[in-house]
Amino acid sequence: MIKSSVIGLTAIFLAVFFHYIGWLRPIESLVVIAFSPVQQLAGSIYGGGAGIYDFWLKKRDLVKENRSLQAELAAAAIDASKFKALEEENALLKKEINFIDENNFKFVAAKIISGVSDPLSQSVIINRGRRDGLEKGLAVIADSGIMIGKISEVEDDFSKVVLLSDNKSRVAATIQNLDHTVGLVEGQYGLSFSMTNIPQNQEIKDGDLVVTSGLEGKIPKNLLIAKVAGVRSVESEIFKTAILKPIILLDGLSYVLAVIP
Amino acid sequence: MKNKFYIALAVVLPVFQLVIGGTAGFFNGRINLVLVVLIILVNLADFYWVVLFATASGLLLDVYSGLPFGLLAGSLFLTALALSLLFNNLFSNFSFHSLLLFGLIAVLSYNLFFTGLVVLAYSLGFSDYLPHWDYFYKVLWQIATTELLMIGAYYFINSWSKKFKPAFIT
Repeated sequence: MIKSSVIGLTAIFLAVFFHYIGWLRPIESLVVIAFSPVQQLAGSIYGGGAGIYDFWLKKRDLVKENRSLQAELAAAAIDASKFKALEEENALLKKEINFIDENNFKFVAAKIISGVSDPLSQSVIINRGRRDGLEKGLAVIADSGIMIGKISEVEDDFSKVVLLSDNKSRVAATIQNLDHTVGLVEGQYGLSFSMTNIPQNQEIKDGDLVVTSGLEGKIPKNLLIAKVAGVRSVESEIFKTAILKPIILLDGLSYVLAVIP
Repeated sequence: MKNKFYIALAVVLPVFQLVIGGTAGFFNGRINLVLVVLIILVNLADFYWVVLFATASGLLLDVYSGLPFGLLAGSLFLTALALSLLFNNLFSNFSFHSLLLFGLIAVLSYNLFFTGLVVLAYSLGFSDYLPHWDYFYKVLWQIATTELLMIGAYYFINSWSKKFKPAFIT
């Protein structure tokens, strides 16, 4: 028992040491790249679990009626699900292309490989890294230009993106109201996000749009972040807080763009 | 054959856990498949394989983690060590109820080690993250899902093996 424990502990210490001096980087990149197709396949199977269950129930009835019809239906269902997935992907990419055409930023398109394995952070891993020109602090957008997070770690072939809902996420932002209120968009423990440091005299109303302020060098101005869904204000305090409503759901994202200003 | 099975488990399970967790999905942190298999391995396999599984799957999970590298592997390794000590000294009776209690202790000890290492990493300046109430809420979920999976695993393994049969309690 002691021998095995010592071997295990040594393996962990060596792995941590090699990770921080960078020797483990090629292996980590290899692992992420090698497993990404498996994860995507497993993800699509897992995501379509409910559909598969319904399909299985239908299939059971069809077996009783006609075996050949069942096979035909199975093929049709698979084709339909593939078509639907392609249609959704196409619509998403079209939106992103429209956004690219309208703006003069440089973009790097990336696919989300997976979420993260720890329960504390709210991040995703994308399949683009240092080799594609990405660096720490760049904004990541989805759909038609809605900011979803910032790059927090960059490796040669992949990067980690901290989502806006992560409780350590901070983005300098502006509310598109008459005062052009400036504040900080902060994550709320993976649940939502809010805008803090807003002076009490600023007029904010529900539905106001929140965009990036451009005060952070690596994040361009006017990237849409969220909508105001309420204001929390205590008279005795200097600042008030705007509760924000995300424009897109951060769960279940598939394709994103990293913005290089 | 056995070696390949354990190595495959250590590789496949973390990947599957990531898939279930999704991209910032609901089940992230609420289901810990690796821990469930670790508990079962402590019951059924040699300590060497338990350590190998905890270390390999932990390091693989660390590649995908937003926390300092080695933190998940360290937590799993310490949990494996604690569970093996407990199993060898206290949980000698393979009853269904002892397995459930063992599962509960496993989840609590894993999260205790994890929280301890997170706080240590924060104190030393390696990480910005500290557990929040939401994390402890996830632990409650983890207890429920782990116990459910343990019940499933107990009946599944019992259907083809005698390793989980109660030795003294019928």
